[in-house]
Amino acid sequence: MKILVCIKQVPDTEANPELRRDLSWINEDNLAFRMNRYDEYALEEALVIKDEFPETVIDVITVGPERSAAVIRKGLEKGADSAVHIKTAENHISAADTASLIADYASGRGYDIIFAGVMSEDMMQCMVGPMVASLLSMPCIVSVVKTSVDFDSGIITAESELEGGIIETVELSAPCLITIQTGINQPRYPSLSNVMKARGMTHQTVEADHFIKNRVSSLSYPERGAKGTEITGSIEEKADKLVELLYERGLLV
Amino acid sequence: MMNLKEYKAVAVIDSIEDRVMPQSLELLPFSMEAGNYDYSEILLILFGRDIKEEGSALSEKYGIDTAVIESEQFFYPNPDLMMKALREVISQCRPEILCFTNTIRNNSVASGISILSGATCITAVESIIPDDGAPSFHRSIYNGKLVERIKTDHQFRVFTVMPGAFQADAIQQGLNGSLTIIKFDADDVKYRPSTVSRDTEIGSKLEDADVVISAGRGIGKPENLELVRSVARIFGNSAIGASRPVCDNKWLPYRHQVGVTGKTVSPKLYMALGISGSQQHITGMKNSQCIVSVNRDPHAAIFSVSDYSIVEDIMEFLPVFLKKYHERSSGEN
Repeated sequence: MKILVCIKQVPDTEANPELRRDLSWINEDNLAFRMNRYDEYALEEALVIKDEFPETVIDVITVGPERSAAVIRKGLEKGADSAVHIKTAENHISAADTASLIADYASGRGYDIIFAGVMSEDMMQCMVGPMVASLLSMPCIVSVVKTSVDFDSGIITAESELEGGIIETVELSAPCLITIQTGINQPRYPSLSNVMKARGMTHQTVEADHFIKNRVSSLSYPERGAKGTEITGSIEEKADKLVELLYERGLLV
Repeated sequence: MMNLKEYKAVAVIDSIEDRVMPQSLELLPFSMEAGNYDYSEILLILFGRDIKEEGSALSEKYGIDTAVIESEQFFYPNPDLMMKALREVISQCRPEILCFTNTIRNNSVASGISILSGATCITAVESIIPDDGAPSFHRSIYNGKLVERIKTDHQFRVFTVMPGAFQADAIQQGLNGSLTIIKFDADDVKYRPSTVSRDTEIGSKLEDADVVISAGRGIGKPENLELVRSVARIFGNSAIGASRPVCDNKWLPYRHQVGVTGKTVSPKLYMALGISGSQQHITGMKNSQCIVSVNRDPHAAIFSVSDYSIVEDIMEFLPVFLKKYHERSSGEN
């Protein structure tokens, strides 16, 4: 079985981003970057299949600027067989561009399953995976919380999580694309032997060329709701005020 | 085979097991605002196995043309087949706008269609701001810490719209709407749903509780949940909630999860402790009567929906809060 895992490098979303002066994107100067959490689960799901069927081949791919190569190197350390970096000049490109670049690479390479995270933590669009599937005419199942693969028939049974705690069980035939929800597995840490092995491996770099430009986006900070009050003071004063307020509103009796 | 006339906007109304999800009707005010269309320029689409009556009820109630697309395969959501059917709809109706309610599933249909039709796709739209003629579409990114404002003059735009962002009760009745029934023949089905299951836990404490005390990633480690439980104990009829990462880390079972993919709650008091406030979490709790949030990050998105915001590290704040509570309650006795 041949598997491709799509991985995005994202800024640490716990940090508070500053905007560039022209508001076109965030100022990346003081940000730490890491693997998109959803993609970590997607990669782990592929590695679990390889654990069971060691002849499985896993390729990892990322699209992004120079710095993005770090996440596919991490993929190699975790146990992927090869890695490709589609290098872009810009720090941020559209989902349609990212999907086209991945689909161009994957086309004709005979992947049985393409895994991706359900969304990226920074842009939260849920778009790249389904777009890649569409471009490759593959069925796509999203927000998957359980997979099982029958190697003889090539049938994949997956549980897709819908809103409101509803789970839909679906059968698909390979080749297909699966986007993974968090919590499906426990992403592993790279073993020391794999880290050593990955050091000796090179990854492929492809320069991205074509781009579609059909929108303009700019960023801003959200307007804070007018309804709220900030409770201020020392920590003791804040606690006092909160206790008082909960009594006043009859929430504590 | 389909035989549809041209429309400016096509809105896909959600259904599951042949039941309409009424929230999808928020797509009507969205369409009108996005393109300045009136009802005669909008087509509603409904997918199901046998969903004619529901379709007929919609077209009568709102006076809007409605097409029901029926197949044995549409009893459960089938994004793969929906895409096939919608591509035919688009080729006949030639709309400027195709819109869906924002769900992970619909986002996959919307983006899959958009890339094949050369459309531009914007998911999870929260508001439309008129701006020098062309409207700008706003959506949250970066865990709610930033807003992306998108402008496009593309002739075909596909959207998914955040539930609750547009008011369905602003809907006024049009004149009269027609009903078109389309039987969709599905061969070569690559996506085969077999069952749909629901969390059947009866009388979930979370939904019935007057007070929900919720823990987020800010609690740091599962041992710290004890402190959150101690807070819950000072209230009558309280329950413990959690954000998704807490459940993903197996610190609490998923039945405690509040949010789009978990439970939706509206208690008298909701306390968000160390929760940054992702859109998916906020959707599940924003209708609570009183929201108190404690987070050490002054920019946490949760503060934008909170009645009372406290910028503190919860592990430092909660012990002081409990001490103050016990002083006050024993002082009164």
